[in-house]
Amino acid sequence: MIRLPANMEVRVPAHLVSPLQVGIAWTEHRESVVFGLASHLATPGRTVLLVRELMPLPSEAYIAEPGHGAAWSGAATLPVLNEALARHCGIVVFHSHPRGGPVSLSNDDRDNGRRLLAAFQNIIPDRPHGSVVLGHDHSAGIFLLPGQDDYSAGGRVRLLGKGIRDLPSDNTRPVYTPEAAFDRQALLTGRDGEARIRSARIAVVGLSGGGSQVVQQLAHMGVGEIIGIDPAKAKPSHRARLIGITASDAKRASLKTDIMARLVRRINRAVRFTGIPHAIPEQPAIDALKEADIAVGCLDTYHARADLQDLCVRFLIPYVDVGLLIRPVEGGSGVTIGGNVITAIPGLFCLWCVGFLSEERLAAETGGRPRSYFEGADGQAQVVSMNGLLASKAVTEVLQLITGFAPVTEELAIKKYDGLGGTLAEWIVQPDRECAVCRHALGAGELIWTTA
Amino acid sequence: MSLETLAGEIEELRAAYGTASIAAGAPGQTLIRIAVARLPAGCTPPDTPALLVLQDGQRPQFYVKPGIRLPNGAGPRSTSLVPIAGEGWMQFSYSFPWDEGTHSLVQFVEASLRRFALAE
Repeated sequence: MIRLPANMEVRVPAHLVSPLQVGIAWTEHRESVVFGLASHLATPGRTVLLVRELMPLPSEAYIAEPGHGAAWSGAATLPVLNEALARHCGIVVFHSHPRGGPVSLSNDDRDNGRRLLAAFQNIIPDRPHGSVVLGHDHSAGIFLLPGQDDYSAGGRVRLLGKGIRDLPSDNTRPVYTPEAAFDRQALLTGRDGEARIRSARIAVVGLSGGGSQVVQQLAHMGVGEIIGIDPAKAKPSHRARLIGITASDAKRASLKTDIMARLVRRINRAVRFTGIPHAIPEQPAIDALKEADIAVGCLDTYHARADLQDLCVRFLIPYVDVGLLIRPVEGGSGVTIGGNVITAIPGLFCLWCVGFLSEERLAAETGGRPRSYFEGADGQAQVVSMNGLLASKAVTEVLQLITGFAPVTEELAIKKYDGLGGTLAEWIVQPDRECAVCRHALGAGELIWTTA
Repeated sequence: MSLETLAGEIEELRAAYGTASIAAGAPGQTLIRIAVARLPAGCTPPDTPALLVLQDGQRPQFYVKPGIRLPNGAGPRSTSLVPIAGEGWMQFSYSFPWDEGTHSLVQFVEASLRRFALAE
């Protein structure tokens, strides 16, 4: 039995996108199949399969069978099952129908998929499994979720990269309704770009000097939903940098999430704002983050960034980090003003890979004491105009991820801000390919607990 | 800790706390989740989920869920929240002697929980 519609997604980290596309390219004679090993994340309304590894079917495993796009020996599936079992992963069977427009599983695909998914579920019952066909710009698939006997269909495949590329199934493609408010923006982003902006969910973690400007600009941009995450309340010192704050908010110690909700409402009532007055990694904040397409972190400490990065790596969420640091020159006079905008796309690099996070930095932040004694970083200098410059760049990074408006290069880079020189420059980075965080946690998803 | 020793320890944990679920973490890491660990008398809530993280050659790490009040009504000091395998847990500072060769994981959990009997 097929249930429709299902809120399913298959998310592919950036480093596996090209191998997947090459692996499923047709040969002269037949379709090609690639198995994906996938963990998952589950929210109340959605299941996302997080691809961790690809295992192409060896060419000698295919069997010539007229009437089938691709047929292979059952024995060829055993290594995949063994690896999936060892890694506590589900299995996604990928193949392609290389054409533009909507694609669908053939009756043969569907029959084979049902048979395979049931067998996979029998052996690995705690992870979802899927069979997916990719076209040039659409996908289709059937899925079998843990504890269910009936199959789910639909959903989308998300290919991560410098621009997020979604391959929707026919029934999940975002639709653009022209609006006068966005007609100038649409000149850059196009109809499809506007449709994607309107359906995007962006988490903004930290709602002070940087975060409030990010929220304001996302609201003007017309994103579908902003998830604002910050447990703090307004205080008088916020009046110098928190966009949308009033004297009354500072006096009454309003929640920052409430101030942001009001700000968004005044800009565009069609933009949904979900306020989460908790800090990462409190569970309500983690649960909200899991719903996001992109996270923008506007956080003061390396520890907070490490927590957010850890979750984004685990759930394959692109993470745009914004930071501003104004401090006195060591042993001299004057100040240094530095900052960064780092877009960490799962599968390209994380903040650990590029050395922005390190055990030494975390230890220095706590003065070498255990983290449980760490009080945070209140009292650092902040200036609204500099927050704004970095926030604007971060929102532009979000726009690029959603719409891919700018051509991209192969080079990996972060943006460094020099507040005294007034420059925001691109720094080429060479990520550490042995990064332990990416090697072990990338796409790890939800843990599978066993009681036996 | 050998697999046989670990299996025995898990059985002891189940006997003491009813359920103990196991998951594989990073390489060499085993996570054990205890659904209901009884807190010292006077704490609210009276019990908490708890997490043990076992890493080869290292002292176990112990975490509980946030929101615990001590018997005197105060929140415990020197705590912080950390994400462990995608879930938020509270870590805290509390030292006591521990020897893997002579102490059991049940003893480790009980000693860790005694931290919440301290008035602050």
